[in-house]
Amino acid sequence: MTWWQPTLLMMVFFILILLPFFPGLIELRSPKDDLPLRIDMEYIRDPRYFALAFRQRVQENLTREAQGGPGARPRLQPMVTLGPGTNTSGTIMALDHIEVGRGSKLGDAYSYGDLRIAEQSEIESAAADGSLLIESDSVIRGWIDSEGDATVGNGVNLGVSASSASTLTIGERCEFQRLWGLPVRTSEEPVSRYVPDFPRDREEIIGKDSGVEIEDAARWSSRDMTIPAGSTVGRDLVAYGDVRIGANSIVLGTVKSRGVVTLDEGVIIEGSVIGQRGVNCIGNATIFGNVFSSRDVELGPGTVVGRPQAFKTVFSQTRVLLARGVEVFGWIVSEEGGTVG
Amino acid sequence: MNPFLVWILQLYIYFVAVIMMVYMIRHVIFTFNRLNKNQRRFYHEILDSELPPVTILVPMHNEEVVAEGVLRALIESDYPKDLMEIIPIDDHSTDRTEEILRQYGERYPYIRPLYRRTGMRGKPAGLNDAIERASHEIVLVFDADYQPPADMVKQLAMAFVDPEVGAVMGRVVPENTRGSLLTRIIDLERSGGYQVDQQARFSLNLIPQYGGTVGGFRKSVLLSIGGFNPRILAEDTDLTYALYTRGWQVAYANRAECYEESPEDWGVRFRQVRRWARGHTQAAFRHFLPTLGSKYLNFWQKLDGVLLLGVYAVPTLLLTAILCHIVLLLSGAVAPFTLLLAAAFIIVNAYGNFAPFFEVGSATLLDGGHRRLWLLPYMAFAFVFNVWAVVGGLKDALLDVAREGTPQWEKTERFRQ
Amino acid sequence: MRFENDPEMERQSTPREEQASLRQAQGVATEASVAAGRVLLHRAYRRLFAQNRWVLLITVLVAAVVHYFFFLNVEWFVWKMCVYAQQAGAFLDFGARGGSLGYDDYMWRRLYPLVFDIPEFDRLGYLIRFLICGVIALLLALWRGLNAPIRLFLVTTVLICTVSTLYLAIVQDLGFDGFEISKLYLRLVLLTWVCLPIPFLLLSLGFPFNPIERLLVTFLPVVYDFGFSIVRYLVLIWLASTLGGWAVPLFFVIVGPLMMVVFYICFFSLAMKRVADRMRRDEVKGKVWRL
Repeated sequence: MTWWQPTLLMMVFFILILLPFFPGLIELRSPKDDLPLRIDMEYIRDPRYFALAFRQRVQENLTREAQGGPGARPRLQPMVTLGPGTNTSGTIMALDHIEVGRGSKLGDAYSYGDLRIAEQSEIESAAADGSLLIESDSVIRGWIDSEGDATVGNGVNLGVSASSASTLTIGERCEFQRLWGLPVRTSEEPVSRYVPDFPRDREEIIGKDSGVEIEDAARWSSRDMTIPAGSTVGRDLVAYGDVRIGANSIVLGTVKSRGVVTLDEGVIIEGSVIGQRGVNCIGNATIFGNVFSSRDVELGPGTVVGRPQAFKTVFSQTRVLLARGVEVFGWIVSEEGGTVG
Repeated sequence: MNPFLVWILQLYIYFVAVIMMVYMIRHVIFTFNRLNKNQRRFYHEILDSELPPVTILVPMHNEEVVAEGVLRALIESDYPKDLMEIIPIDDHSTDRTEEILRQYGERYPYIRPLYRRTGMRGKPAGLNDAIERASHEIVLVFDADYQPPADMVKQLAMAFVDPEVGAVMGRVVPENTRGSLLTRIIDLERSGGYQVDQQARFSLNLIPQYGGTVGGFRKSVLLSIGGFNPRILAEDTDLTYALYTRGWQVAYANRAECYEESPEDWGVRFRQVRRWARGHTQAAFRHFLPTLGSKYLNFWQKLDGVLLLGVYAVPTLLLTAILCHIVLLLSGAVAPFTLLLAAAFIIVNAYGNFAPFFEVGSATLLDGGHRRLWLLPYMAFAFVFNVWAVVGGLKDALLDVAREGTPQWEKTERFRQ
Repeated sequence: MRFENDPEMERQSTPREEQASLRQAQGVATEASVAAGRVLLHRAYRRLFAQNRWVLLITVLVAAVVHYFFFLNVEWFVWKMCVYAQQAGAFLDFGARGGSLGYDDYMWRRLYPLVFDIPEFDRLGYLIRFLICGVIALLLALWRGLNAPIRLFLVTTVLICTVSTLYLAIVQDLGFDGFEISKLYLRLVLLTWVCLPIPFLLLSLGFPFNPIERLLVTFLPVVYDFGFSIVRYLVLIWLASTLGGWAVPLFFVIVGPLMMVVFYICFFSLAMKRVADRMRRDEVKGKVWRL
């Protein structure tokens, strides 16, 4: 055995050991994927982001066009009326009013004033600086937004997002993923009933003799929890099982359950309702905080979430089911799609 | 060799193999869950016009290089300034940190620096002092080398809408990935640790960990447990277990991402991992039994909690098992080489060591990485490196117990230019 | 500065992609819109689409059949490995160090380990080697010029030898001969070839590999290890017969199953890089991520 034989052996040995490291060496020598993960440092969540970004882009385009043209104002028709069955993929714009006929198919529509889309139409996105009306059985593939009131008829598919800086009223059988309005309503008329004004009425409510007073025991439960009807609870409730709040009870805090939270008729919650396996409001519940669930959220007739002075969120990782007569001040998110009615 | 000794050594190897298998299964479950299951959402999905007031603590010791960066980022946050109080903690600095904080304190009324010149040095002690001055119930903590994005404070504060949440933790993303092999490996490790490990533990309702920075807690809860223990270097792990064993939860916000600066020097990294191991082991001594006995934790949470507490003991178990192998091998006791012993040998030497690899690879895939995946085999070197750092940390922790002293806090060196 | 997944990069393309990236930036994407191919989901909560169960099942069945036939014939593969090692040994002129084939029965298979001699030393001989290894370990530990992880890796390697020599210096009884250690080596090779592909195939099911990639990442490391085992075997014989039995543990701890797993990681990382490239390419079309 001479010197070259073990040398050769060890060389082959080390080459085979080091071969798995060779691709990494290529990346280390000439890096192509060495940048940090991108974090958008300016990112701020805005439920009307689509519409506002769209308006901004339109404005930029129009300004550019106007600078090249004779007038300072964009050359737009004051009013655009499309007949029934119109089929176009471009962007329709008008200064005062857009009227889209029945059964039309459009790309984007943007009105500096009002916008009305007649029934059974299909549209990519629609924005109005005035009021917006989407009539029944239409389909929105992208989003809709209005500065004024937005009214959506029955059976409309609202696409990815529907928002309004004012009231958003949606009809029966509508499908949605994200709704934003101040408020979002599922009936023409606002819910009108007495609700306490927190925190002003807080002390008064605590002082009320409401039958059953639950204090210390209600803070935490390792099992299911049921609050009898007409109770007043002066603190947060946390349960590992399901929680049921009896009719006309008042909870001056947040209700958290790792199971399902059920609110019977007329329950008032000062804080939020968090039910990991679902939230079910039977009806006429008033929730001043947020509603959050990893499963379905059902808001029965007359349920109110949030209040005019404070917007809140109803979030479901699966589906949100809204009955008629629901009012939510703020945002409704239903990741797997929600329905009305 | 004495047959009884052979039997003991074999038994120990089987024991370590079982432990390694349990850790491997845990990693695989986390990885499969994160890759394929619908993930539990964090409360940042909530938009709420009524935000809670928050106090933000920024511990600093000789942070002149990075102090302005973190303060500027917090000033540019979209959180209403009338609901925000920032307390940068100048902890015995000898550089320009105090001067910088004074300038910012004079300019922004909601920045109220705390200058510590006496008392014990170190993050837990500094935080305890600052918490006494904190005006608000919700307290967030950022290390000085972090750069929180505009909505970070809002995202983290929103976790406390849940009355069960005692602490919240965001995701840490290394910014200086381009420095060296070390920073690239740390990037991969961080990815696996947060994108898969923390998120899966949050989704599976186990024990996501409060990490001491890019996170926060309720002041009243912390005070109720006596504040941070300055004798424990891993005050974050200590708080996590103190919370869970008392019925509180830690929420993990995978969307709340924040840049950090990774160590660019292997020596600095060694000391960092050693300090983590030391602190974590101290916390393990304190919380092992309370975790097993807690009425607030279910079986799986207890199991995950114990495994998490023991994570820094694994390298030492591995090394000792390998030593046993060597002795058995040299004494000829492996000669029969039964299937069971061989399987244990393979598990100890192979699977267990690299179970986290699957986690890291999956996390990198989810993060949209591509060529950086080729660097995964290099983690084998980092693994051996970490083993020694962790063994050092374990030794330190045992000495701490023996001496009953207070360990000296060692700050991680900064590399930003 | 360019970042990966940068919406700014995508905005240079079509208006639809522009919208998609804006949606991604907002994090308001939903499953339906992903399905419509309009949204790039933020990384925080996205996950993979479910893989086709039938494709997975068929792939697993194919892998099982391949592995079954491999298992049936593994004796032949190990024998071939020994024969090639013997031939290479002859080429390298190992002479008396390793020439003839013995036999061993393990896991219902007959193995043919190479027979070779291992020199034994007296206490002083082991002590001298212990001191040499200890000094080398110390020098390596103090050598600051060497990259820390490599330094610690080498220190670990030398420490294994140090522990071995110390043990042998104390007990003065090497518990195996060349044939025994050769047997052990082949048993371990047999076991790793038979056992390792199974869990790695199962682990691969979590990743969106195509069937070919899945089969390759499962079995290619075994193919690679076939060649590596020959070389490793020769190095083991050469070192053990030259240096002595104290060098043997190094092979079972450092370049045994551990190295096999590094091969697996390498092949996995190569396949995953392919998957990552495919996903980046298909991302704008949708059907890559879901919530």
